Amino acid sequence: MRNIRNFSIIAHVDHGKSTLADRILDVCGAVSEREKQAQMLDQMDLERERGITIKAQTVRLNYTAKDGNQYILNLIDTPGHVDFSYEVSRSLKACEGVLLLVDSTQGIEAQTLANMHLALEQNLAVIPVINKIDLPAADPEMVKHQIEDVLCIDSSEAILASGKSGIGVADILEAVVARIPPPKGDKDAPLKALVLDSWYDSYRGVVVLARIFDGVMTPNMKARFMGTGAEQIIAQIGVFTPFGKEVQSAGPGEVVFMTAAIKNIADTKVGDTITESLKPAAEPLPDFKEATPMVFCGLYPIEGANYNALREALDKLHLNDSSFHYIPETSTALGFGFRCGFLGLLHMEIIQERLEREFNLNLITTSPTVSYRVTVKPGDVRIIDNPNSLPEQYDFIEEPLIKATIFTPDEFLGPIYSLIEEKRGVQEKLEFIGPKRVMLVARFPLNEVVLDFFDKLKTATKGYASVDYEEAGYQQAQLDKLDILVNGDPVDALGFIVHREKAYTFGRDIVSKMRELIPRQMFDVAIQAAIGSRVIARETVKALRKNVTAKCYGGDITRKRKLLEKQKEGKKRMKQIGSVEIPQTAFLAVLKR
Amino acid sequence: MTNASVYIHIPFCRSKCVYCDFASFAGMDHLMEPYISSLVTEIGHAHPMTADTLYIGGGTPSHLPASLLENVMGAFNNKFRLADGAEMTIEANPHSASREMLETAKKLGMNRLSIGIQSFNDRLLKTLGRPHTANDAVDTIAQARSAGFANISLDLIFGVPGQSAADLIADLEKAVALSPEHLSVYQLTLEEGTPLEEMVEKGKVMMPDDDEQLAMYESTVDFLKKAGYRQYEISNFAKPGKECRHNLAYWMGDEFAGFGSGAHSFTEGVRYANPDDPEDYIRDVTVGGESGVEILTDDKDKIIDFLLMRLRLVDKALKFEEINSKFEIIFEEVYNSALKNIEKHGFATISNSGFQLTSKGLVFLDSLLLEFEKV
Repeated sequence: MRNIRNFSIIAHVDHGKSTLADRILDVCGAVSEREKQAQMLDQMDLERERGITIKAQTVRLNYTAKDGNQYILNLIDTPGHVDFSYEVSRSLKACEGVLLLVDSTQGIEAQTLANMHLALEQNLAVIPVINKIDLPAADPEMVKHQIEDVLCIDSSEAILASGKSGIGVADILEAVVARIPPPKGDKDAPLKALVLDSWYDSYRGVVVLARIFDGVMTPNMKARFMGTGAEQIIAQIGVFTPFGKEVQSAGPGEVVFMTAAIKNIADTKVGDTITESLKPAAEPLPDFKEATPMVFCGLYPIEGANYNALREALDKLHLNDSSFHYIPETSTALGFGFRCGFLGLLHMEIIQERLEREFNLNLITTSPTVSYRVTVKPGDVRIIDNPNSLPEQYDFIEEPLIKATIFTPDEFLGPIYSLIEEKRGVQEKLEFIGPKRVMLVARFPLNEVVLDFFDKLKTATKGYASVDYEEAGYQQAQLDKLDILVNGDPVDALGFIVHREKAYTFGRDIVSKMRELIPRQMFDVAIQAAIGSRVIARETVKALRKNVTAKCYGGDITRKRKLLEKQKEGKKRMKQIGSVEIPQTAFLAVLKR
Repeated sequence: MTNASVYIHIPFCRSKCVYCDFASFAGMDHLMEPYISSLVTEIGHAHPMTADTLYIGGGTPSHLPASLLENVMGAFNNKFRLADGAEMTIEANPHSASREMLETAKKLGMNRLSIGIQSFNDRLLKTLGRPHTANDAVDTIAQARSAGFANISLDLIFGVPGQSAADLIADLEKAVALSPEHLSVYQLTLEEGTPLEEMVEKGKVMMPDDDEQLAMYESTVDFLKKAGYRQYEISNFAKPGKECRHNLAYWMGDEFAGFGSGAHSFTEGVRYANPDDPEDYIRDVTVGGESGVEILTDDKDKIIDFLLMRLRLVDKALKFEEINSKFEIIFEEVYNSALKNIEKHGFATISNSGFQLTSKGLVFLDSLLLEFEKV
């Protein structure tokens, strides 16, 4: 156990985490030339394409240090995006230290800070690594100042490195051995292992990744999940090197995967403690809080017949990502679908993209919403994540807030202030972290952020700003339910909860967009945006004037029939709302705001 | 089949009009002789019947040399007995209807002439690619009268690019002044693959919009009503008793026999279509003496086909009994929701015995048929 080191690399997106991880694997000789594939640890295609890590992976390495001793290094990879901070903290539970990686051409960014806070919360040893120093634009001195000023870490401890060329990697490994403490634990005590992750593997079934704190785990041992109470005989235990390799036992400090005849992935709750049934631990390990969805939307198959395929796809994805939630939902406009909850916008996009790509589904996504806290009357507080569930009468409504930390060159402060204003934000803190760089902290209602905040921030700062956010409670707000009505019938897929000040513009936008997309029908079609019984915007699609074929030629009715078939074909892509037919494209255009 | 309506198609034209996508061909006159002998053969294979109406259409039947027309009529007369007072129509175009042609037609028993005037405005005739002038048209009508045609129908087109509401009224005035017994006034339809469509797509000419077209349609109905012509079908107007009986047979869902390329037949509830291409048609008849394939339709389609023709008739309520006996259903029950729907929006009036489209419903016939399709 003295020779085990458990560590993660934490960094802002694109600061070179995966490349450094690959280099560390190289130096430790974990992967042969033949097996090499850039960014070894990012497994999903989507991860490699987007260049981000979504699911944390882990790998066990053998390292001979300069002191001549053999060490086992468990490198636990972490996701780098704001939506997945929950997964980061989960990975960090298995570590005694972290490499805090900073791109020397970029400096400290929002997730650098956010991830470091997560590490400090768990009292982990932090080794700053200044990466990409071989690039012409590298400015290690600037980064050292920021490390001192913003992170309050002694910058003389920082290692200069380049994951790409391998500079400093040897120093990093030595620092891991020297500066990260070995794990503690009692191998004679009853087994206590923390479930870090679990997923479904089509060959092995449910696989559980666990970090052992006390005791020893062996195959054939009867294991009990202390939280869920599930019991199973362990079939296999093993380590990833990065390829799965079976081992006969594992003790304190080790990170292992285990398989058992587990049928239900719900039995293997992340954060649960595994113990030995025959010799159980008295107390489970402290649980970490469950990830709560922050962003919600409806997902509907474009072709109604694909509902079951969508359900199966969601079931399958959920086995590997228990952090999104889904429940069946019905819409008159969109048919049968699911109400889904996600950790954030990127998370939502990723799930949507995986459903479309891996399962070949065409989906309609309703506009993202957040969960509101509605006090109907004293003592009756409801959480509403679907605008259509908002009760008609209530005392007051509260919206969720986030605290956003934005790192940006100071020249973009003007546009950022406008954006804060537009998004109902409140600035809390502004700090210069270099001659031309600032850190700005502001609170925003989450519902303003889910629509297009990140896109707008990117535009406002030409992509130079980075942002991280965390939940920051609720605040009471003047919010209204906005309905879109078509000839008096509300369209359930187009129900929104909007701030009173914005309802008018918002409603007018949607109504005018709908007007362009709804074809003329045999009667006038009124499209209205309404709050309760008050109509705030209205447009009319004028009725068709006529629709009859002028000439019917001789006895040949086939051409008339063709015309009819063409009209019929067009109808198939329509959804009937009351007596009005609305093309699916109209929903798509309005919902893709 | 008791008495028959007979249609004979003559696909030849001197030139093809820019808006036309019918089974008509210019520059194929060399096929005339083999075509006519095929026609004679095909008619020769038909079941002998009594003909109530004969309609020789095209194309341009008046483009045919008189001798060939005589051959066709010889075959017809050999096969069909004429009912008393049979209606016998031939189509003619101003540029091709010579005095000789008109007299031959009359001599062969034709008693109704349908002349493709389209417009009395030379500018619009040019836009339409018609090979004649307004004066030609007036002359032809005068010659037809002097040849003895007492039943003349004129075809007009409205909604031509560049046509104003006043232009249309001027056309109608000129037409009415010539006192035809019958008028067909069609809205110009932009057909796929026609030169006109290309002209519109390239922005060379502009079609009037829906509102303008509807206004033109309404002023036509209005004008002709005042002039003593009753609208009995969406595009057809007649002096009392001068409705086209041949076309009425189509609209009423009666049976008919068609001969020639592109001709359709309807017997014992089944529709047949001959190939549009005259060469294909000639080959078929040369090989097998006959031509045509069955158009496959299910029972529901047959009802829709019936409705799409029958509902074009104006002021002629469709009796449920009429449709129920034809298709052995209880229409008012099976199609109850569709009927209720179109009545709700004011497109039809329903009584215990039948239903009828309103004038508002008539101009939406294509959309209304979809309501019946839903059943």
